[in-house]
Formats: sequence, structure tokens, C-alpha cells
Amino acid sequence: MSKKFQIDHLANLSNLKLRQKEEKKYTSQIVKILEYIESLHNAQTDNRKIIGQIIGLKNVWRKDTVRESLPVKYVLDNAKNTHSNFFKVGAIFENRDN
Amino acid sequence: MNLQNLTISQIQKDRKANKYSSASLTQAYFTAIEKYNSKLNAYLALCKEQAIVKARASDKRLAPGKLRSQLDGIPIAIKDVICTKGVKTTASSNILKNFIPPYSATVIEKLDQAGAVILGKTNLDAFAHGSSTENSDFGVTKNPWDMGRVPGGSSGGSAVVISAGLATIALGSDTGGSIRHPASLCGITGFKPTYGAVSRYGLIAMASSFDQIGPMASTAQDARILFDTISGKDDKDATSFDLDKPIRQSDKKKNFTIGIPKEFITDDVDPDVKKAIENAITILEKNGAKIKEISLPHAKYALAVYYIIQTTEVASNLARFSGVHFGEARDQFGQEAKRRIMLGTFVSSAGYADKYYQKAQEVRVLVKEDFDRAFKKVDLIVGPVAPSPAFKIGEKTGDPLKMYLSDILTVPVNPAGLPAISIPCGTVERNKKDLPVGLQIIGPQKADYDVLDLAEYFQQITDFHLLKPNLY
Repeated sequence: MSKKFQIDHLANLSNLKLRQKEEKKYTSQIVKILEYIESLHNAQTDNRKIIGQIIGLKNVWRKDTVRESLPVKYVLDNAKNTHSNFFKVGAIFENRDN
Repeated sequence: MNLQNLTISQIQKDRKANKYSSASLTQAYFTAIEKYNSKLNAYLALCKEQAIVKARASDKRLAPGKLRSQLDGIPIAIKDVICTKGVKTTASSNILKNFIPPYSATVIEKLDQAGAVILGKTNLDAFAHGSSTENSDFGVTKNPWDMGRVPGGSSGGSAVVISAGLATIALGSDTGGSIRHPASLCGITGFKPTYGAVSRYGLIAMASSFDQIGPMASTAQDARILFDTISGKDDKDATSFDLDKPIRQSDKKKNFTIGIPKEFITDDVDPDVKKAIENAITILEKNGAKIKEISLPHAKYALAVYYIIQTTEVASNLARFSGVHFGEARDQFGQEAKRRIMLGTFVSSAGYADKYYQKAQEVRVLVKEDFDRAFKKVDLIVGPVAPSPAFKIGEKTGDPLKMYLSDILTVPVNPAGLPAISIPCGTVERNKKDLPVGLQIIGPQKADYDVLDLAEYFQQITDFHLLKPNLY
């Protein structure tokens, strides 16, 4: 099977950074897995309607009652960068490298 | 005290007869863990102080007859992909190596209310991606039947602690076979309930349309008790539901009509494993079951379906690991997680989603319809769990597809949302060591108790589940 993807593009979409050695390895592994997956096209599905929820649950509701949320301190406990009661994130409108 | 074949009912009987307390039993487990865990690498973390406090509290409830449930005072191990408030939960990944959850999973809350004693957290393939625990960032777990072999996965740690007598019961999770596969390779009982029968709230998500938490134990009876405790609708998981508890019809158990799918007993299955399975089927037939050959013609596509839908859901679920709210940066992902994220990103990307993702969802329906048709003719389906007994450490790590094929007999169940169990049905000899073989029983959606009934019945008429590795 010919390669249908550029591994660096795929890594970028996946928000992953790969080393050059890894790029080669993942390319050949993903090609091999895709070859196996191609067998699916032997199955006649006739555009069958897909199932949204496998058990068939529909319209799942719960009572509209207010529940206590986790205290802010607990929520922030695992974050590396915080500022008062907030998560601190990188700027998104600037060049990331700056 | 022999810890290897202890059951819940035996422990409660012994406690009432003052043979030992929950606290002394818990201490005995920690002593055994200290002795064997460095070799097995089954536990990643222990909850010693908490466990002893909880066991003592249970012992205080025992005398006045105020035990909260059958699980009160029973030592349990938890797969480290299930959140435990205040106790490090890593999913065996470096990304979460310092993560301390601010809340507990619903199943943990239920176990607390029932009075169960959590001993510690067990090893797995990182993020439950794998069939051997070799993908753990904290080292492979060894199979106690042969330390040179894998315990299966991804719930390898939980399977090993039951097999080695380092906990009475355990929780695992099953997305494509992660409870049943290690249960088979370690010779214990592992039950994957109907999708939604147990709340997934607090389970670190792998593939949300397949994931299911379930019990691992020495016997089907213990698996049932644990399942009774953790199952039920939960407001925090919209896919959960209440299962009707049947009134037990003990006579019916023997008269099940059992289907044997010809697609499950092929040349790809190890001949010795095949022999053990055929022997188990003969035993069932001699004891009242009606056996019918059936066909699941689309089961051969299930693994391909699985590796499209599952990786797509993995790519989505693991997108939240940005290192901002919790956890380390994305460069800490292991190889298998990276592979799955990229594969899932590809098969669901613009231009390819129709060819792969949409097609897989259509074939998923065919897989389910095969089972629907089969269950019109038979009550339950029986076959092997894994195509081979435990394989050697390192044997499949170089070839991801080869590793994925380990799950070829467990995977078809998950896209269809069915309940299925692995119970021991004998051993095969490899390099002068006995290795266990698991029998898989699959039921229709919501027939969880039928699956457990047949498993329990099989364990009444056979002793395979009593076989344990020789550690002591």
C-alpha cells in the first residue's frame, strides 16, 4: 500500500513532537497496521445506519439540581502553573517560540 | 495462612469464627506483598496506613453484627487507571507520575460505602494500551506461573495479585479484552460486564464507547459479589444503567444452550489451548448443556473495527493531556500512546474519515448483528479467550500488530457492548512449566447474570479455578 500520510503532518495534528528516528519507525508501523485495517473494505455494509449508543439508551436526563463543585484549591492542586484562582496557560496569539 | 485461594465467603466465615480479623488478614497481605512484589512488580503503590485503619473499623462492626455488606473488611486491589482521591493515580504513564486525583471514581465510593479495604494500586500497560503490561512506564509485571512470561494485559497487575495471593479481589478495566486476557494468562476469573452496567466516572478514559470496569477474583462467585456492589446507574455517567437483578433459577444454569462459534476455534489458536477448550465444552455438555455450532461471519473484522474506533477515541481522550490542568507535558507519552494517537488522528481526519471511521462504524453494526442473530438460537457463547497461553517477555514488543492480534478473540465483544467472562479451564505445559488457559463465556447485552451463572456452575463441577502458581 502506498503511503497516504506525511508523518510530520500527522504528528503536528496530534500535537506530538517526534524525533527523526521515531518518524521512520512510526511510518512503517502505521503503514503495516493500515494494511491490516484495509480488510474492512471486504465487508458489505450497504451504507448501513450506524448505532449511536450501543445499549440503545435515549434521552438520558438527570434532575436539574445544583450540586456542590470541587473546591478551587483541589482543582488547581495538580497544575504546574497557577495565578490566584486560575490556571496559567501559554499565550496563544504570539509565536510560541518567543 | 494460605492467601492464594481465599474467597469472600471463606474470609467472612473465618472472621466470625474468630480465626483471624480483617486487620490481621490485611497485615498478612502486606507481608506477602513485601516478599513477592519486588519480583512480580504487580503493585505500583500501597495504601498501608489507610488499609489497616479501615480493616480495624470493619472488625469493630463485625462483633455487633453491623457489617455493611459482604465486602466489609475484604482486601481489594485497584487497577491504577481508576481514580482514588488523595492516592496517586498514574495510569502507569509518566505523564501522570505525580497525579493525585481530587476525587474518587464512583466504583471507589461504592467500595468505601461497602466497607472494602483498598490495599493498593496495580500496574497496567500505560493508559491501558496493550496486552502484556510491557507498555507500563514503570516496568513489566511478571506472570507468577513463569517469571519469564507476561501476565497479559492491560490489567496485568490486578490479575497477578489475585493469582499470587496478594489481594482477595481486584478491579480491572476492559476496552478490548483488558480484564479477560490477563485473567486467562494468569488463571483467575475476570468479568467484563455489559457496557454501561458499571459507571465509568473516574476511570481514566481510553476508548469511551468500549471502556468498562469489572471484577477480577479467584471465583465467579466473588466476581458476582463485587459486580453487585459496583454496578448500577450513576448520574455522573450518562451511559450507565440499572441492571435488573434476576431471581436466581439454579436449575436453569445446567440447561443453557451454548453456541460455539466456528470462527473462534481456528488454526490460529494454539493446539493445546484448543484441546483445553474442547475439554471444557465436553464437560459442559456432559453436565446438561446443549451445544450448537454457530457462525459469527463478521467477527474477523472486529479487530480492524476496533483499531479504527478505539484509536480515534484515544486520540480525542488523550488530547486533554496538555500539561496545563494536571500531568506532565505531551513529550512524556510512551510509544504506544503516540502510535495510537497518530493512527486515530489519521483514520478520523478530513478526507479519510469516510473511508476508515465511518466504514468501521458500519462494520461495527454487522459485528453486533452477528451476535444478535446467534443469541436467537443460543443462550450463551463459549470459546477461547486468547489464541495462546502467556507469551515470553519481549516476544511481541517489536511488532505492534502482532501484539494487537493477541486480542483477536476478546475484541469482538466490546464493539457489541456484551458481557463476557474468562474462567480457568486447565493448563498447558511450556518449558516444563504449567500455564493456565481461560474459557470465555459471552452473553447477550444485559445477560450479565446468565454469564456469571454458567461460570459459577462450571466452577462447581470442576476444580481448574483452584490451580494456583507455586510461589509459597
